[in-house]
Amino acid sequence: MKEDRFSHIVLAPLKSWAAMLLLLVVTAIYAQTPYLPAKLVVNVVLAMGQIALVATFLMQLRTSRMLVRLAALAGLIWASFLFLFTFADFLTR
Amino acid sequence: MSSDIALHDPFEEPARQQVAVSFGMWSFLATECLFFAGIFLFYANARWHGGEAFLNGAGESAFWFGTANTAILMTGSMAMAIAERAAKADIVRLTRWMLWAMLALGLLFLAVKGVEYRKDLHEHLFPGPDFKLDSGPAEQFWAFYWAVTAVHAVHLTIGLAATARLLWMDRHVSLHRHHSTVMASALYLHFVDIVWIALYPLLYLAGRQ
Repeated sequence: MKEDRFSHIVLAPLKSWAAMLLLLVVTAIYAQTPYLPAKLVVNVVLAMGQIALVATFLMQLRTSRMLVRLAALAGLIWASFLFLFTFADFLTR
Repeated sequence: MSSDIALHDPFEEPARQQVAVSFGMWSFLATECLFFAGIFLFYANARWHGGEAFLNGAGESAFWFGTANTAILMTGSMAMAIAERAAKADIVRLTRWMLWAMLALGLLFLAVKGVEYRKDLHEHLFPGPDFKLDSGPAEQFWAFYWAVTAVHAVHLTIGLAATARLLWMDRHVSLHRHHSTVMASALYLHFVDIVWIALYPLLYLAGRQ
């Protein structure tokens, strides 16, 4: 396997995987350490980082066409409306 | 893209088929995103109203089982990404090995989940008259836990069936020629991984204060 092909096929997914595992270790240690601040926020932000790695590199949104990226974004946007409208009600009662 | 790609109706060009499969799969995953968003909304609502009692319920979840399964599924996702790229580059043995790795890791995830379910049932963590904690919000957490992990397991099983189908196809046809099928299966399995990554802090970390 030529070096650039090896890099694209094997190394790139391995790098994403290593980064995801590192974030998993950080979030697990942070959650298990007593009395640290803002655990929910930190854990959710780290999970979003892992999700971004999967979507961008493993699912290759980084190199996808704009049409495909829009389809990917659609689910996220419509789901955010679900939460926005529900909590707009709770928070303004 | 090479011209030896298998074309399916109604496509006349490999490039157009490739974009259509990718766009179609992402559109389907957008609907899956909405499906899971409804379930996640239940969690947000129950947590908002349940407060500390909800988090006490979350504190009973098995941290190590959840953490191990997250690492297992991430590794499976990585194997599937390599398989998809290897299929595109027509590296047959690497594709095959990575598909087997994905299948094995997926089955390992389900086995760990099964052992975890057994432990949960043994500790009376199933909502109902014998539930371990005397608290409505804690029971709501466990209702969420059972519902969402079961739905996720069904999704993973479908993804593993798609992987097994690819391995079966590999015995008869070139997966390089059917790369769009490999790509669609890989996208689905990555999405199953994403759902679990989102669930991990909600199920296994929320109760750790």
